Amino acid sequence: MKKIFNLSMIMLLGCSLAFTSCLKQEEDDIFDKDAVDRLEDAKVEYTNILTDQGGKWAMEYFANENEQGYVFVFDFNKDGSVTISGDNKWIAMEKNGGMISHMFDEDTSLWEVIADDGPVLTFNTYNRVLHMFSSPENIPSEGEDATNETGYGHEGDYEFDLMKYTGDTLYLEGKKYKLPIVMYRLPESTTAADYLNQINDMLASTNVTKFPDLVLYGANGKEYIVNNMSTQVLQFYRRGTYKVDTQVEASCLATAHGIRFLNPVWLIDDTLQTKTMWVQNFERQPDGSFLCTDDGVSVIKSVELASVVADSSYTWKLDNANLGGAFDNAYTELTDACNTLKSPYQKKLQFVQFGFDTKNKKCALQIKVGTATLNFFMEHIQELSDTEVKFNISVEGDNNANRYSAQREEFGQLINLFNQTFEVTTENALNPSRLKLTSKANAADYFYIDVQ
Amino acid sequence: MKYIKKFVGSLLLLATALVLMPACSDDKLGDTIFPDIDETLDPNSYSYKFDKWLRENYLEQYNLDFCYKMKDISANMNYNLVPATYENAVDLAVLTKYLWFDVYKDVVGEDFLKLYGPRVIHLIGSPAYNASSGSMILGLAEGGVKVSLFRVNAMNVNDFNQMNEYYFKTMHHEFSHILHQTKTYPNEFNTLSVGHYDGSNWQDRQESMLNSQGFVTNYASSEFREDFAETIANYIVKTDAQWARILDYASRGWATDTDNEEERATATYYCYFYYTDNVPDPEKINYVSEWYVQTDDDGNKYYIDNRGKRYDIYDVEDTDGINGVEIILKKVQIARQWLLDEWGVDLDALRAEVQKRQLDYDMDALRKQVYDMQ
Repeated sequence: MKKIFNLSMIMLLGCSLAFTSCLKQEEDDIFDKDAVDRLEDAKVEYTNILTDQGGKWAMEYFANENEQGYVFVFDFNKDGSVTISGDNKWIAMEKNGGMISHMFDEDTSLWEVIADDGPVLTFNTYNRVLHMFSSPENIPSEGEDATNETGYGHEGDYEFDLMKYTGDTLYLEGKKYKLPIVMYRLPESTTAADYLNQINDMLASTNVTKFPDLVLYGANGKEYIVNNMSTQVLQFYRRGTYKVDTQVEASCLATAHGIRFLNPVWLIDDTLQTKTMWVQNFERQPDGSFLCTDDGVSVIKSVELASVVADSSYTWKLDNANLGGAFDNAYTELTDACNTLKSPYQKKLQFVQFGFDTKNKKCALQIKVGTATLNFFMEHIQELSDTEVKFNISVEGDNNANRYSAQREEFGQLINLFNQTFEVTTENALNPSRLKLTSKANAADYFYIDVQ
Repeated sequence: MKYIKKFVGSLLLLATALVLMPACSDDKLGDTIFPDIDETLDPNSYSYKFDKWLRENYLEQYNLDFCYKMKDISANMNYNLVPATYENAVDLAVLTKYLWFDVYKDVVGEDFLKLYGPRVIHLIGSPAYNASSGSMILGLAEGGVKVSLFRVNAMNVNDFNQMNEYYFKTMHHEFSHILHQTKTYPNEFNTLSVGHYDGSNWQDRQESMLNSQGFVTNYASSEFREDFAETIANYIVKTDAQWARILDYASRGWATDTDNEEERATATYYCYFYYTDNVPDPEKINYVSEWYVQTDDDGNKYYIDNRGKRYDIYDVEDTDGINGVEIILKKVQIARQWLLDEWGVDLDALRAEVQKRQLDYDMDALRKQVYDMQ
């Protein structure tokens, strides 16, 4: 018992010395001022950061996790006022009932860096651009099923804990709802309306409602289907799995250079919920795709172009003003030939398109002459590779097709010209609404098609 | 062994405390991290004129912080709230002084609000919604110190009734709370409507019917403390015509065509009815809202349906056994006497001064006090 007692006393002494040593170091080396002074210093420091160099900032703001984010432009003044600008759908809704998709507005109110648990940036008088996201009023929306959000609203913060400043970037956190917010310093010459226009252009570039399924080609070699790009509340799921098994939803906002998600989005690979990669920041590339700047490899773009062409749910119209080589010649000859048709009706060649004959329930090359539509039936388009397709169109078709092609061989000549292998390219890898099909046999022979 | 374990454990605790205590005593906490309002005002500040006016008219005179820059730590974080607009804060600040502080100064004396007035008035731009009950909070009085006024951004200074309902009535209501939290009012008040309060459904109960039960508003029917504050506030701010209407409703009988006992609390009540085909028959009674009842030159009440047919109108018999008028006036009398005895405040003089001021104020002139500040 004595041994135990002695041993305990030695351990006690050792612990006591160690504690004293640690505490001493913390007192002397880490803080040379008390908490009040440090907080006051931080207030002054952040106030100066916000007002220096013209005081213009862009805030990437998320009101909640389930809604897209918005960008505001702040013009901080040393007199305690701030002008906040926004250009979004809620301003349009507030001002004219949402008759247009977005609208610009700016409002001046007061701001302050105050002391709380740490320095807090507060906008403490009402600013209609910012505070509409904190208002507890019902969110104006259409439809009988619209939820009544009275008492809640968007539930966005208007007070922000100032977390960190580095490289002209301020990292904040909503004080109440704790969402991460980022602010970037803007050049003094920035015009809010122009900057926000840039954002809205970026937003418009993500409007790919015609092609709801995009693909994230991941840095891990895996592919994930991306839905709802145009709503900024995206859904990801592993390609080849059931959506419900691997789906993850995440909100993003458009920036001047691309899109950014509220938080890193961990993608799910399988039903075991395996996660092997995440994405958050994307930069729009010259080809229209979005490259993940976090890993420098992952990219969001459309599904393979060959499958886009082969998808029978789309109708593709031939751009007859942009035909190359043999296609230009064949189309011109068909135009002339139509004028010689023995038809009581108008004989002008109106357009050529790849579509679906709903009457005969077959894919068809559809040629409209005057008021008549000629359906030349075709097999499903063959996908030879991700970017190669081969058409197989018959000169046989519906009654109109057979009657007209019997009169003029130029119909068959054009059809035969389509029956070959093409390389498919696009100028917009995200939104391939316009495609160029170039003959594999002769690069001078090409045509453009536009989705309808 | 058990004893030793205890002893070593105690020693460890004691030693640890001894080691840590010096560290605590060396840690300088300094002044509070919530410093008082800045001593100096920056003349270059955007809000300098307003801040200076508030300092001179509230802080220096009444030791009151008129807090228009919202501090959410001063509000209930369970609600989603937004700050007041700067312009509306200016309007409400000058009106509050004119219709509340200056009234007491004139009627009771300058020191009254210095002694008993709130120390903080906190403006909040939005209402505080109780989403579950569908009600909203317009004002709060906390600990006899702070009054929070909500919904400031919806303020329309040209709508006298709205201003009264949402702000001035609220101010007098909340101040009544502060007063009775300091000196309690006679318990007799609480006995007048006992058994008729409904803390759950008050917001869905019809106010005119509740008048006949002895309540000035439906909120008054929520509990006796709110009843007391509502009685004083409504007596002060309601115009003569509005007060007369409350007493008129209080004198009437009310009926509903709902038989369901659960629905009766929140049902629509009527004080008039007519008979189908104008033939008195207890089986053919139709209730009609007072808004559709007209009076002809001979003083007869009638109702015309949408096909143009005229019906004679009858008053619903008052069968609830409650004399609403008597109860309301008794409540006012208790409040009147309590204010006089405990506080030296003449409620009727207060009411007269408020009535005079609220019916005739020049908003531009009031604003100029702030915007012309040098």
